[in-house]
Amino acid sequence: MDKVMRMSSEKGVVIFTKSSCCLCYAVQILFRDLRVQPTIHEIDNDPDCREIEKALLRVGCSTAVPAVFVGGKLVGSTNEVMSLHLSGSLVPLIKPYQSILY
Amino acid sequence: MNSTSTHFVPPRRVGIYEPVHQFGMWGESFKSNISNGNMNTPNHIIIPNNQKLDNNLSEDTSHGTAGTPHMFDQEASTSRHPDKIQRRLAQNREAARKSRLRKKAYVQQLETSRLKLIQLEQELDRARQQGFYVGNGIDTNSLGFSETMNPGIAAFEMEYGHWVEEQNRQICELRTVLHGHINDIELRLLVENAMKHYFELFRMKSSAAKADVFFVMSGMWRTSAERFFLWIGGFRPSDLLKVLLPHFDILTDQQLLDVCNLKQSCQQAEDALTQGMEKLQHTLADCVAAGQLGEGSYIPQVNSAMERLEALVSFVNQADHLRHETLQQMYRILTTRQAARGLLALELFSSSSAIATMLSLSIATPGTAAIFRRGTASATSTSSSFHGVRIQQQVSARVPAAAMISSSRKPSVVMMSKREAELKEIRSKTTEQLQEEVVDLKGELFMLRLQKSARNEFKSSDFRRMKKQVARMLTVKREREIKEGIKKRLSRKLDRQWKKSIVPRPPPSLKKLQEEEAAEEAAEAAKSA
Repeated sequence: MDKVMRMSSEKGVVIFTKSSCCLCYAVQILFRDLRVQPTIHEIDNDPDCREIEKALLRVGCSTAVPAVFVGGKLVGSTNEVMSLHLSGSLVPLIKPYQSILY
Repeated sequence: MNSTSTHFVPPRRVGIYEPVHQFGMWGESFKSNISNGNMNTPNHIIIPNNQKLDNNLSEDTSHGTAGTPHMFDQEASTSRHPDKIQRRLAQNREAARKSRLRKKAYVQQLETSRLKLIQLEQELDRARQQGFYVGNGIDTNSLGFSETMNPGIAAFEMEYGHWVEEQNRQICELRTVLHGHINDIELRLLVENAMKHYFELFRMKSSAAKADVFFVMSGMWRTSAERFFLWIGGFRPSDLLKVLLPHFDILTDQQLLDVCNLKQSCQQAEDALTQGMEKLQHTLADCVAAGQLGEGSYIPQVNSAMERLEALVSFVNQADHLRHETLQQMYRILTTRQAARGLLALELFSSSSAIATMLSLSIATPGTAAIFRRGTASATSTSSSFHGVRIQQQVSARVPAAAMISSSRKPSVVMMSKREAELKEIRSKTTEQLQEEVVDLKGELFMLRLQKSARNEFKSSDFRRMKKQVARMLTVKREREIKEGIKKRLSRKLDRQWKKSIVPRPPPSLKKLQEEEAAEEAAEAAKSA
């Protein structure tokens, strides 16, 4: 639990993924398109995989992965990310972390 | 010419046997006749035989019992040609018998499938009743996967049918309302209802995806034209925007900005999902290649396979969520009136009927248009009947018109169908000629009946053909009568008079045979002389 808190409160965009999950991959692609470099934690490489999953669910994610945290705060799973993005609120959220490349 | 006491009459078997047997009986005098290789002699003898039948007495029952099986021995001893004929006839008989058996089996099969169909329909009705009360809650586990048709999918298809009807009704209402005048509040209500209706569809799809995700992904419940634009089980959200935007004449700057942003973010989200989907497809393909999906023996891998299928379901849900959000945002950005017009435009885009009409109208030449209309008619008819029902009627009404146009479109090249040519010939004859023809045809029919009873070879299609010819001629005759003004009673009287007056005469086919016979005898007489 505290591990999750620690990891999520890192600066920038943090995504918890699983290597086998393709939705997580899709979310990563989306952020890459938005010129953000998210910090990706693959929880199935972590020994405490189950714990992290449970913690994420407890924190309020609809599905454990992908879980997106921006600036320490929970954004949510894919659904929430998409909704925010289409409504235009995602970009202002990640603006401080957008790189100024291309 | 025959007076032997051992004259043999097979019980009810007036056939080729009779003359052949009689050849054997009559001995050598006819052997030369046969050995001349005269295949027609058996046929000649039939008619005189039939006349003689009345004179024949069935004597010598021992011969009767010995009849058929020994027939073949006698033939072998007599000549080769009746042998061949008989073999041919026997084979024909066998073939006919076999085909009769096959037909019986086929009919039985049809009956059983019919019963099965009735049962299935009853079950569907029952499921539909449940569907009304339980909603989407039909559990696939309850009925299992023993049926070929997934019950969840069956329920979904039925619900989709209702959804489409409701959708059409709403669209019609919107259209009429927009043409007239309506205050904003009511319009807003209508638009919100329409939105909710779409969201309802997404909900239905998500529950169907749990039943059979491949079904939902492939969009099999949609018409073929809709499937063309398919993206993860439905329309592309970016396509949605593309369709909506041209329909709005005036957009404020804020609206324009919002729409641009929405477009961009929608495109990004769509791309992300597409790439994720590709990756999933690759992994799924690898799974299948490794034999993990569907193999009961690989127990540890089944979990990962199930995970992947669930991932697929979640993708479908995400795609629907994206569409949901796009619709929601558009509704937020636009005014109520613009949203209503947008909904109508969307319906136009997603209905295959519109696409079919657009395509058919855009083709210049009428000939190809006829073909295309027929093609679209077949496309809409083969695809799901739910959505294409309306246009089917329209297109099918157009198709026969087109066919008629195309058939009479070539007056320069007089290329009429066979039937039209025959009709023309019939119409060109006078009434007396028609009567003579009718008499002839009836004679030929009589000949056919004789052949049939003699178990000879005959073409069974000739019966129908000749009867119809007779009917055509009589129809033309009556047409002319009507034109003259003869009413029914008088016409019947004239008919009776005519029928009484006809003299039976041999029909052309018989005349031909007799001529041939005469020619043969003449030839033989010349030979022997």
